[in-house]
Amino acid sequence: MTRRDLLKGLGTVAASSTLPLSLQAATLPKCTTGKKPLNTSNKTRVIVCGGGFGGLTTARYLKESNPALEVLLIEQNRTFVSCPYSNIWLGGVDNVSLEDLSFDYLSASIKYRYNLIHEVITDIDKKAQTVTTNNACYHYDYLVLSPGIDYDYSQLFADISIAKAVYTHYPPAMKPGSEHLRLKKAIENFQGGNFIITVPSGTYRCPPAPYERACMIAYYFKTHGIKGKVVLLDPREKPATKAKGFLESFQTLYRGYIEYIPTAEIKGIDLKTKHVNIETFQTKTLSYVPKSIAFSYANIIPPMKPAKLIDIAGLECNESGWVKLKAPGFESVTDDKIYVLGDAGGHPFPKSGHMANSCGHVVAKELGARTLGKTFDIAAHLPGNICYSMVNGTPKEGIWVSHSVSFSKNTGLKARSEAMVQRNKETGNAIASWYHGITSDML
Amino acid sequence: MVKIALSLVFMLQCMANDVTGSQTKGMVYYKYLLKKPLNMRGDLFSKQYTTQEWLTLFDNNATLFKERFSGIDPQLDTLFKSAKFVEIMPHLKAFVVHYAKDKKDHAICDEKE
Repeated sequence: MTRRDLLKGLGTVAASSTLPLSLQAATLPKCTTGKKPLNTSNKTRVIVCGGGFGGLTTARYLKESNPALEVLLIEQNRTFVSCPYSNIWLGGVDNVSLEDLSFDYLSASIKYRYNLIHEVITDIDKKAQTVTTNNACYHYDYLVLSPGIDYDYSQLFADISIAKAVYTHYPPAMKPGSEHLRLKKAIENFQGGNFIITVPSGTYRCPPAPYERACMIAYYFKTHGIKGKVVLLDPREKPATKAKGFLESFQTLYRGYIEYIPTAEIKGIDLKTKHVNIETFQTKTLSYVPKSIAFSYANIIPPMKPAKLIDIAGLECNESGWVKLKAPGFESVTDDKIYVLGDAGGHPFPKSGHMANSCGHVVAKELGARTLGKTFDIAAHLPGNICYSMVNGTPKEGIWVSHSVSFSKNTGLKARSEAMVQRNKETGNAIASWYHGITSDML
Repeated sequence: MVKIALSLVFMLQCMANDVTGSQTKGMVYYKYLLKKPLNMRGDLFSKQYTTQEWLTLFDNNATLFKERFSGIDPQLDTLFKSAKFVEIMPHLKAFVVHYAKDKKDHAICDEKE
């Protein structure tokens, strides 16, 4: 790749922000092996891949911790849509609109003085330190990956055609954007019957989300006179988080509107007859027994894995499938010039927007100091988390869980949780403040 | 011939290390069938051994597992000899391997409230 090619690629940055993808460069440029692409300046360049809570926070605060850095954020979507707070919109609570969840990326990049391109990453060459997109090839000195998650349907359905059909008709809505729009329409058009929500097994994005979603959809049914019932299928014995608070809400606020089925293992789905086949544990016989549940609509949330970008980068993952990092820091064990944060990371942190934001602050400080030749004690600045869930709309009532992280050389990183499971109005009111605070921190 | 024999050994090794059960089922089985006789929470139980150690304990129809935990409670000894144990074994194995000593994941039993 020549300097001219690179400049041509960078020249499309401004254009690619406004042109639809189909109108951008038709060919997919590849960096020539062994030939290092040039930077446009002598500045140290950090490329941040992924404009979610982790990536946006890192991009903003990197420029604060070392203003001399050239920071380039690569995000394929043109609009930021928030997953946190989206259940409240789904439930029609507090007049939350889609506009409240949506932000443009351009304003943030202008305000916080980093470069932004909307392109799709096709290759990462660790040796040459390049990121290739559908449009150009960019050299990096440091790379920050915050790509989020992908769905792992293979754990639910052996037949890929079933997985595709399930995704098309019943998307998980755990990645923001069109999946949420589909779910919102399904709720608004719901005529009655069972509205199934499945909780994924293993570690997944936003542990309280399926339970909060059940409350919000049930709230919508209750307040709109819809004779429907949310059937929540959970492979666990009780909700993965804030168990007491959610179970109490199901029983007292949504009796007849939510049926919580614990120890429910999904064994298959019949899309023609609209039945989900499960096995549930019977305490009398101490055995799992099969059961079939009819549905009018289903929000099938499959298990999750790191986004494909991690495969593209060729980073080592831990036994649970998430990226192996050098604790207490966020460098990949494969390459210490690559940082990974957010939901794809393998630290024992809950996968939440708040945690990704908090980790973004830490990475920005550490990497900013590193590029200035200074040291930064991560162990003294570990991230934290708070996760609110709305359980009622009138009055607004919520519950929360928080996590504090500790580190020792012997035991590694540990996250300790504390929960407020008694639903209350203060928490319900705090949710909006939290949301507006965290979005204004990065957008 | 040697290659075939080595391939067979490798295949058998892979099968022995294969974890095909459901860790969530294993957690439930542990709670209802093993927790009381062992008098230990599942999260602590799984952290007793590393992944490789658990796999070894579950080798050959969990021979070493049964040896290690027999004699603690008569109820447990009866379970080990029953068809029920054969049924739950792959799930139990999946559970302890998923939350083994060398894994970062912890089985969440309760949050501080």
